[in-house]
Amino acid sequence: MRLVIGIVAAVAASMGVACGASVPVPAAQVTDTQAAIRGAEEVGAPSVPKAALHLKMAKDQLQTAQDLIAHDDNEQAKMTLDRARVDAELALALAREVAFRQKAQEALDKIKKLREEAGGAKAAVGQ
Amino acid sequence: MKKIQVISILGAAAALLVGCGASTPTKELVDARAAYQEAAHGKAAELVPDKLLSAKQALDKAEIIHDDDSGSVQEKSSAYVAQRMAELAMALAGQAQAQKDQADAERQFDQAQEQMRKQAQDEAARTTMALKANQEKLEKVRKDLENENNKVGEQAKRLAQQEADLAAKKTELEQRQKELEAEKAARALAEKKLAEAMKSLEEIAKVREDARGLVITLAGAVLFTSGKSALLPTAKDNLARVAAVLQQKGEDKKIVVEGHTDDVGPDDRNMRLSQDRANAVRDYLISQGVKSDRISAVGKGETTPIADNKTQEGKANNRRVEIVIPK
Repeated sequence: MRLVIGIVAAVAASMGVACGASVPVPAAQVTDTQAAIRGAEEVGAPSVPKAALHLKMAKDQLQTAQDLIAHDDNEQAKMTLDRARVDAELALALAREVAFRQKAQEALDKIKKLREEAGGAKAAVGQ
Repeated sequence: MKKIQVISILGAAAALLVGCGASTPTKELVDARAAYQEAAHGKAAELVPDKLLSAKQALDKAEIIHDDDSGSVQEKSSAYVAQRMAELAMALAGQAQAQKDQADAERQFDQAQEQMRKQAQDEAARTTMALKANQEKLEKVRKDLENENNKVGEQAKRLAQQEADLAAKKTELEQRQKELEAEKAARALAEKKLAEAMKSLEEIAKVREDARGLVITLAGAVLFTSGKSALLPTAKDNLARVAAVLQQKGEDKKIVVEGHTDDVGPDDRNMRLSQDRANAVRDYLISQGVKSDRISAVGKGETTPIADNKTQEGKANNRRVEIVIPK
């Protein structure tokens, strides 16, 4: 009977490890996440609403992760950093997308203006 | 009792198993699946396939965790990450699309600019050509005008020359007309004088035409005393009338003065007398202005009577001087 209990306990323990056990401090992940956040800020994420939202999420989760690390909950911190990292990357990508779209629009406007000028010039010649 | 314990322990283990991997997905996993579906159906597959693949791998990881440990924090966290990665793939696809659009637009801009430059060049070339053609036309017109001007100048010169010629001819004509009129007047005057002279002459002499020409016959008694060859004082007036006619008529003709007698007396004496009388008349006519080289004198004696010498009247008629002006 003891043996059975022992086996069950061992299984439960192993499961407990799978759900959240003690792991080393994810220092590199923190640095990477911080770098990703800086990158997003540099490309102007704070001024793009959707990007700003994800930037905020990244920052909040970074803070949470740091709090978790402070409380030795590295397992949770690691997952939180994973999320913070993708949010930061998404913020950067969204900000860049907007910037690129703006550039594309500028190029299109340039063509439009050129064609209008050309049309105007032609009309002027036509008269 | 033991059996109950075992069952309860197994139940707890089962409960733990359910806690780590049941069939109901978390909201995060549902969102992640939806996000991935959206990304997979968008442009990401074409533009950023590697990023879409990463999103797929993240979702697969979340699904595995869901299968193993349904509803767990790990599942939620990995689903969260999977969702963001799907969104990231879409954002990157958006970036790539925007970059493509920009490149296309820039290429179009360059093409449009090049086309406009070419059009402007063509337009300039056409304008230059038109200008050149215009200049050539203008030059031609200018030359034509110059030629025309030259022609007009020449014509004007010719016209002026013609006018001058005409004026000269007119002057000449007028001069000739004047001369003609003067000549006519002179002739009329001469004819008038001649007529007057003839009329005056016919009062003292007989004037007739015969084969020799115009013959003026003066009776001997009018000019001379019988048997003499000296002119009577009255004869001079009569001969002046003859001279007047000669001046007017037959100026260029050789005039012959013939002396004639009747048959009284010897022939030779009559011949000499007739010659002397003819000479006297000739000399007097010369003294009255008739040129000496056109007048000659001939004595015919009694050789050519014009009437019968048997009567006194006939003799008187035969004693005569004839002045012949040839035709």
